Amino acid sequence: MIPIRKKLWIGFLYLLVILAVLLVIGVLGLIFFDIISKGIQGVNRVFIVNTIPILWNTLQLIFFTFLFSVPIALMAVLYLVEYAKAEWFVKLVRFASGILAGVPSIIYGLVGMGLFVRMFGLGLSLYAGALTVGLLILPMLIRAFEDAIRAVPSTYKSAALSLGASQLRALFTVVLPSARTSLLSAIMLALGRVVGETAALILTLGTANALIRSIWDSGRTLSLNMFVLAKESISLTEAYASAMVLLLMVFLINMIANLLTGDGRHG
Amino acid sequence: MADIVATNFNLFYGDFQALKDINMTLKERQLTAFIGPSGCGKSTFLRSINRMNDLIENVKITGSLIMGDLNIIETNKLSVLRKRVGMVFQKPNPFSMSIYNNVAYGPRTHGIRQRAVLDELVEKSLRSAALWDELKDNLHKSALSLSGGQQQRLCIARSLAVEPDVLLLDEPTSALDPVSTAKIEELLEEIKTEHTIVMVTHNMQQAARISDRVAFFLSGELIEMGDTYQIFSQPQKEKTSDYITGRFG
Repeated sequence: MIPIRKKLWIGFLYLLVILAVLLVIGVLGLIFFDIISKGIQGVNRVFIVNTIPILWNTLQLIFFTFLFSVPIALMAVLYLVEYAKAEWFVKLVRFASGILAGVPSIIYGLVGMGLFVRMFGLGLSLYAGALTVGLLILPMLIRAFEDAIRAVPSTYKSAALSLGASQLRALFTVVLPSARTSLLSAIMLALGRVVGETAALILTLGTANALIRSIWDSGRTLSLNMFVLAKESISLTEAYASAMVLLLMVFLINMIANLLTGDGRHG
Repeated sequence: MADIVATNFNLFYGDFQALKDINMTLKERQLTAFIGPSGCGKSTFLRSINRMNDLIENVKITGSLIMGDLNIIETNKLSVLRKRVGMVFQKPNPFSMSIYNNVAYGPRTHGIRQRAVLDELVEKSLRSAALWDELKDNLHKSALSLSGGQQQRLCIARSLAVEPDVLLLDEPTSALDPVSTAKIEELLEEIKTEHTIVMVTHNMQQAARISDRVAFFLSGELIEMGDTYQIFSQPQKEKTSDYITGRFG
């Protein structure tokens, strides 16, 4: 029989664990409740009309950010995993990547401002913004892509090579396709980051209240809109409404990412 | 098709010598079994025949390995070598694509695009692997949904689709159940008249059942090689008979 003291101790730990879970769920629930209850109040015709161009701006940012960063991350990782001979180089890149992943986004904003906006002369634009955020998510993509590609059993590549495929062909026709779900969910998670990005974009995309029609235009994304509304105390309700839309968007993206990782193990 | 001839073949992994002065002839259209304890170099030698050791770093090779007019060690045209010399691995490794696309992968790699030609090749290869009747209505199902035995036969079909002269098999049935093993042995016996087959196996009954010639490796050396019947009934070397009778290994 287990002695009373030990039972009490186990019971106590159990209680702590349950409290911790309740805390996490509670905080999450509180945030959701706060934002949605206040945000719903702000949803009216005017809001919807204002939000549509903002959503379109956000989508354009997402598109160009990934257009820049995904191919670069993919090529970098393929080189690191398949072609790099010097061990020290691979370690250096991984180390740098790890550090860059932890750099605050405002610093990326400053770098983007100095480099893209000013030095390259792109001005406050979608071009500068997408390049900056692209840089921001690059370390994250590289790490996730590397994990995804290393997870593909080496026998797949061996089989392709033994059939006469070249290294490059084997990578593109067999290895990458079989890593597709992990690669995709890495992109989805980076997407969540991009959608919520504010600091890096204030200095590079700008906060013009406009619809972005070309890569040279400036305009607000969802998160930037929230920031401006809240800062200038124009309408806290509208800020909350924007926050609600943003929250739902991130929620949706994460759900899709989860669905992909969950089911995506077979062909 | 031609015999594969190894002369004074040595292989080093860094400082470690994995293969010592191998001299052998693998006769065409015969099934040769490589036997020997773990780590004796038989898989290493097998992989040398289609240059798969190139994937490993710090590998050094001396000597020669020639198949007719093709110098295996020196050639730059690996794609051509691997079209003529196919390989089936120990664990079945079908690509995560449809059955059809798995078998068609090889031919497509070598430039065959017309649907009609591919269809024919896929059917022919699946028939050789005794899979056609089972799978012909489900060619677009994922290859990963097949059983282990079917997957391995699919891998064999996949290798046969490029119409190689030589087929290398590295313990192809060690991960399979007895029924699948029997089916694959039957398959190999049928195709050996059209191909040169080299098979590494730990299973001596298997070697005795289906091979024409046997090569016994130990610690990187080729101890003895000869006709299957002779090796198993009257081995010339003591180490061979010790291994065969199970005294070690």
